[in-house]
Amino acid sequence: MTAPRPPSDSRRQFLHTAAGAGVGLTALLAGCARQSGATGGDRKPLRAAFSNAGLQSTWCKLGKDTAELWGKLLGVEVVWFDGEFDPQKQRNKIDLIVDDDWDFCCFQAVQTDSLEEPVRQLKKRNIPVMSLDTLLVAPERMREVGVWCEIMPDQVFMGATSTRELMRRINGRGKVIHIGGLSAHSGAQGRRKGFETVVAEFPDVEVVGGGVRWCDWKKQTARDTFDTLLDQTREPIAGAFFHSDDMAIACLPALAGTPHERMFITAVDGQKEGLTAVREGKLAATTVNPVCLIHMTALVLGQFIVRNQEPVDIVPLQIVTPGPLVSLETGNLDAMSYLADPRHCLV
Amino acid sequence: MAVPPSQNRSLARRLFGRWEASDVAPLVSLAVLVVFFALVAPGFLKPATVVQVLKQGSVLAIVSVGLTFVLLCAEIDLAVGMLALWTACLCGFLFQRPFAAGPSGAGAAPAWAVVVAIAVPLATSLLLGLTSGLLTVWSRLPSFIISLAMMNIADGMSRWLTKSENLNVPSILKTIGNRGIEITNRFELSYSALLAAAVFIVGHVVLQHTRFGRYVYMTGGNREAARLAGVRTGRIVVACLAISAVTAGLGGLVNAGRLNSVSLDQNADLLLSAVACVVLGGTSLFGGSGGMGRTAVGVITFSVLKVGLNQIAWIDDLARPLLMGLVLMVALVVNGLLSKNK
Repeated sequence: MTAPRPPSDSRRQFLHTAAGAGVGLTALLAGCARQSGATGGDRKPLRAAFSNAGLQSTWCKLGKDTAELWGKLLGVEVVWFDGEFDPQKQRNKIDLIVDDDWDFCCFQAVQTDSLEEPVRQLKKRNIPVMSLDTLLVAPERMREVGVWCEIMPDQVFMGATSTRELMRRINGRGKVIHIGGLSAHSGAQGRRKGFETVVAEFPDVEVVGGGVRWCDWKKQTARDTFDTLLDQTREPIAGAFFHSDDMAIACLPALAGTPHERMFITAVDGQKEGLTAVREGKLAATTVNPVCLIHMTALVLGQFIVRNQEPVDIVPLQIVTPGPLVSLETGNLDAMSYLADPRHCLV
Repeated sequence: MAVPPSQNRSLARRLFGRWEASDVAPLVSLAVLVVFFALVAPGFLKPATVVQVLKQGSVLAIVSVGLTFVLLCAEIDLAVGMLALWTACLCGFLFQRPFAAGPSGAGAAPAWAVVVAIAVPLATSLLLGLTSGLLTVWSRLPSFIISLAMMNIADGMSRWLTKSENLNVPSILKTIGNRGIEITNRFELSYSALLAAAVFIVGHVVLQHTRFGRYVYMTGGNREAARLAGVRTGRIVVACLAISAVTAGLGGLVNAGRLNSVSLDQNADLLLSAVACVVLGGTSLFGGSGGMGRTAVGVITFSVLKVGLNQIAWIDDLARPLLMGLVLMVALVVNGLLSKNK
């Protein structure tokens, strides 16, 4: 099957992203240079506490690597507290460190609201707190609780972008499978919304199994569910959308020897494994969930706030990090692979 | 020629005389589930469902064999899930070393390197199982406590070793996990199911036809009596925990092959699912009663439940775990009540 050329939007989008990343990096370097100048080249070493959902996940581990890599470059000592995918364990760890000396803190809460009290304690001590990816508290209460800024990807956009590419590949008709992350996760809900919004525009598309199948980000659950859904029909299923590359890659072997072998699969995350799968033609496309950009932005922002003594009023309440679609046709695969390389941690 | 009623009764007694309600209960649960899904899930009764039940149940089956040994001697091994993870992680780690993957990390592994990448992790899981067993016997602490600690050790070692990376595994594991023998164009007998069947048969033969098997039942049934009868019960406990660790490791390897790689999010649910399977089959948590046949029925029941629930399109997806829990609870309670009436 010869796929049609991608819309020029994809190229424009990539150019915008690349331009945005370039502007961001320039600003970062300019900021560092200005700071060096202001202090005569002697930057005050800073200390920051970081925590994200759980280092069992490659996404979170990459976030940690990013913070540590950029921390070294910017003179910020990053101390890590693993959330272990358990709100109680994460809360216990953060409760223990609220009285320590930090210049700023960056947290991805395992569960929204679970870190509210320690963040309030940090606010009393004038320690800026940045929220990563998942809302620490509801947006209207962020400043009252003590969250300076929320740095997050656009989950709905990521779901919608990958789904739109899937619809383009299957010419807007046929059966598709929708494998979801964790239903309680705001990111997964955003991706579901993105998928459903796009699919609603295509009346000839039927979602196998009645709708999204939540698999808790677990590869095993995703594989079991996918296997069962594949066996529901002998009529070839046109495509599948997965909320994460990891789940999609774990399901790829299930297609061999079935009538669905030519199925198009799109997903979200766009990190090393996903980009490799795109390069090998196993995934039709993936949308980048910019884990490195999120953690790097939080770190860079934190050090600016502290070193420039910026007041909370000038810091934006929310920063949405861009994540482009990557396929063999979008022309950004090599660039994204370079940016996502763990030695660079840039996207 | 008509058979006299007295002969009829003796034939029935010969055929079914050893069967009791507790033996039949797991089969009844399975039959009820099959009928239920046949009614509510269109397309449930087809060869593809059997293929899925066998495929999705094979890892669970391998792990449940070892766990059956442990439960039969009235112990528990909470570490099976993390031992499965550890074994797979070590396999992935070794497989990505230069001796297997080449200096660039992308070479074709020689056969001996694949053997090392599979055998060494299995040997370490055996060692960890032996350690759990020896500590349980020596410290006289419940295996519950020792295996809880071992669970954390295996989990910690996996995290330390993998650094949260996704690791590739040998292609033979991927073949076992994903391929099979095509019987017809709609029925493929997966290699993982064949492996599980082989493990079951070995487990059954060991339990039913060896002295060691009899000692396992004796140790679980009445440890003091077994000891007075000359059974070295400590050795039996150590051996059962070691067997459980090896089958857990084997299950972990097959699972990693099926999922194409190993990462830290795998096998988290394996322990509870395996315990549920063994108990669903009717093996007593208090030891001395049960067997591989029962565990096989338990695994099939559990897999039918999983596959069947996934086939019902009209259920709200968020309600599936609730239904799974409810059906499991009913089946376990019915089995438990029938066992009490024994």
